[in-house]
Amino acid sequence: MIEVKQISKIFGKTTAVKNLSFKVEKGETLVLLGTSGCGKTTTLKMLNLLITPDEGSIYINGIDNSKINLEKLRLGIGYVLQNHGLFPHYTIAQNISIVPQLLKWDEEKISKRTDELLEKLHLPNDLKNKFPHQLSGGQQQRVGVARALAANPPILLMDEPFGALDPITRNKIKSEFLTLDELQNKTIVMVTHDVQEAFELGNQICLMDEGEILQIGTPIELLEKPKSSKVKSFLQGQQLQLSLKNLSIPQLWPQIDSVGKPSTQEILNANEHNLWSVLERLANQKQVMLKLNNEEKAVTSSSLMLALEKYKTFNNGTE
Amino acid sequence: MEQSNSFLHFIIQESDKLLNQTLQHIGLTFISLFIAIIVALPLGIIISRKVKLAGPILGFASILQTIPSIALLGVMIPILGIGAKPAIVALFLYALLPIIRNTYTGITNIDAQVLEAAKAMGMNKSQILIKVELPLAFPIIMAGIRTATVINVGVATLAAYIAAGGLGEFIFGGIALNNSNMILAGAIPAALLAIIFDFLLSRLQKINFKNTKTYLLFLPFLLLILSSFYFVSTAISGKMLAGFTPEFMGRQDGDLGLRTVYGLKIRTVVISDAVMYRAAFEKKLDVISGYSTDGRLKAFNLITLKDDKHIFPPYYAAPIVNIKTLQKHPELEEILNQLSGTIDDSTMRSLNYKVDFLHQLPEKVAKDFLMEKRLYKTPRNGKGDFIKIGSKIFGEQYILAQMYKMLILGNSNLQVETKSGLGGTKICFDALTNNQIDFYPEYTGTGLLVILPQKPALFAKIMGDKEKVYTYVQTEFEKNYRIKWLRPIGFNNTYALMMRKQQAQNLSINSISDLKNHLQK
Repeated sequence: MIEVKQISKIFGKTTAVKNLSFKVEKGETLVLLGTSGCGKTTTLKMLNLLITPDEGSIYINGIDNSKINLEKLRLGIGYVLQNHGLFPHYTIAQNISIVPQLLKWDEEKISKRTDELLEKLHLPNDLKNKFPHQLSGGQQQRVGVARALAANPPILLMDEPFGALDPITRNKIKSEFLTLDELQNKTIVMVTHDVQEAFELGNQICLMDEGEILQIGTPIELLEKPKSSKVKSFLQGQQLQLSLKNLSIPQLWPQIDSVGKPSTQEILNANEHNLWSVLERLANQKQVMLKLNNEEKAVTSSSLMLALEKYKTFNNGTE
Repeated sequence: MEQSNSFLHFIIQESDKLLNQTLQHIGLTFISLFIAIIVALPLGIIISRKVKLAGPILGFASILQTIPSIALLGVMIPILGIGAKPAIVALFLYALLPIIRNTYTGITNIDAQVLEAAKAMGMNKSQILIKVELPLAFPIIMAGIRTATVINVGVATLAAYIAAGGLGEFIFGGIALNNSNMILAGAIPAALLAIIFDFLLSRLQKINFKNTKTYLLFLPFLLLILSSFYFVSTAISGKMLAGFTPEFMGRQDGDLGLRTVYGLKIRTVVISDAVMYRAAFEKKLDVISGYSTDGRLKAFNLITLKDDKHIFPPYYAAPIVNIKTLQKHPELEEILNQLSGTIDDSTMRSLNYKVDFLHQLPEKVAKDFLMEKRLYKTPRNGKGDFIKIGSKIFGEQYILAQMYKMLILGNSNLQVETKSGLGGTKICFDALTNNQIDFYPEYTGTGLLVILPQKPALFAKIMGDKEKVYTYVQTEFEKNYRIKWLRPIGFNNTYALMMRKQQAQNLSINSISDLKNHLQK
């Protein structure tokens, strides 16, 4: 759990962060969202004291972070950087085991943990003895995540973790990230400037501008009840995509008509999908099978868009 | 073909010396490098932390780098004396800049994200330094150490000037003696050392070491072994220590003659004549080679040893005059000969001392001397012909030229024009034969060995006798060049062995034979 109380940070003449407060519960993901220069990265770095706040206090699991030994504080907080920040002179295995080494885990435990993480992050085991520069960008970023998770810290801080990746790799890693069991029960604070990413990954979104919070709330809250015109204009243009992502298949199920013939291809569990994710699948193939409560439907992108139209009309009608 | 044969012959003949010099060279290079690493590495780390200090410290190290090597060695002598110590300090100073700068650059150029990651993961400062910064900066630091090594191998040749040994002994000896085999015997191994060490260090630079600790232990160990070469090579002892110039070391009328004719066995170091006299004065050396009328003999209270077996040819000074001029102005001979017999070695030494050390003008020194000898006369301000006096480009010759000028002006109606500073022997002599000057002071040994055609067999016979040499050059010059040697002035400016006056008196050493006998006791 993280609690931030009225922190401020001033660099020279500019105030980077002004009187900021928020709270992140265990198991929650808070996304700090805003344009560059809004103070989101400064805020993140104050949580593990890479930057010291000028005013206010930060409580990590109820303890003031300025009262904990600096190294001890950081050993308990995972940190993922935009450009991975892997040690170029360490192998992948050595990179992943940095924090466990600092915590003096025994070798066997470290090596077991390394193998486990490689598997969970879909990294081939033979990468272990390679060096970071021999890996692709996506692999490097996965190793960065594995390194942050290595000692199973209760808190994870992520600074634009997917920002340096190409769109295809980014989406792939993001969807893997969402299903990673390691992240359950972790308190996560993530920085991004990408609205879509914020809505995809955050339970809570903290929208920032010029060092201050514009609005903090769940994605739906931000969409439906923007506090100010600034919030509204910031989220505009993303509306359609956002609504696609926020519509789950079960919500839409009554409106979906099965098209074509049932086939033997893989069947998607409708409970695990939203409209967007199925549409993404359909970018590569003509049709997919969806299954909800023993009922199977074959869908195409046009049949789904049709269902959306119906859904919108239906809901507008009832309002 | 013959050239390469004689080179090989030289190498084989001098292999002991060559090995010794090479070991000394390696030792000097690596002792200084080792100390430089110990000092420069932490300095580089400190300035990478406190960037404000970077400017002043790098600036200071750069200034050290711009000081000419010889000058730096010269500055070291009064503080540290001669031998290995000043050489190592000078080399150490030269090695600082590349190591400090590369350590600084290596550390400050590390990707900021990597350092942020290290910090964010909970590494403390020393863990970041040892596990992240030093390993990542290592290739660049090694590049600095390589540069420093190559610089040191080069500069270490100059150690020969201050009796610290090394391959410079051959190089500078060879240059002084115009012996290309000797130059190459020093220069080729020095170049090879630079290439080999650079190559080995480049291999070391590329090793990807996983186990940092073994590596960090290995490097200093290797440096220590290489450093110890110096002590292996200099483990020779003796009663007295001689310092000879590289030129003297290789001459028949030098170290070779001392060994063959006198059988003198003395521990010898090679040293530049610029520092030799002071080193003897400061008791760093007991015996040195030098010129017998050098003012520094007086300045540093040294005495010359008698060359009782005559290995050093006589260099008696006398004016040499164009015979045409003498025919035109016969009174000139009488006037110039007034100086004959008035200046002995020690008188000349103190006159040189006044000019070279007390920085008095040659005119003043000349006038004072003539007044003292009652030879000075007020100039007659005559309006006769011009007599042109030449001189070579050093103090002794300036003084003599001024004396002759005053004698001529006071004793005749002739007028005088001095053409002082005519460079070396060749320029003076050519000016004389071409009637551009009428006379200049010359030395019998120079006349014999430099100007007249070489006849080694004849020379060997007359060399030991100053009268015979004088008579020979007088006859030959008159016959060949129509130039007349007037009467010798009196002093003999030749090679000589020198010792501190006090020590020589204590040991009752007056001649080179005495010295030899003392050493054999």
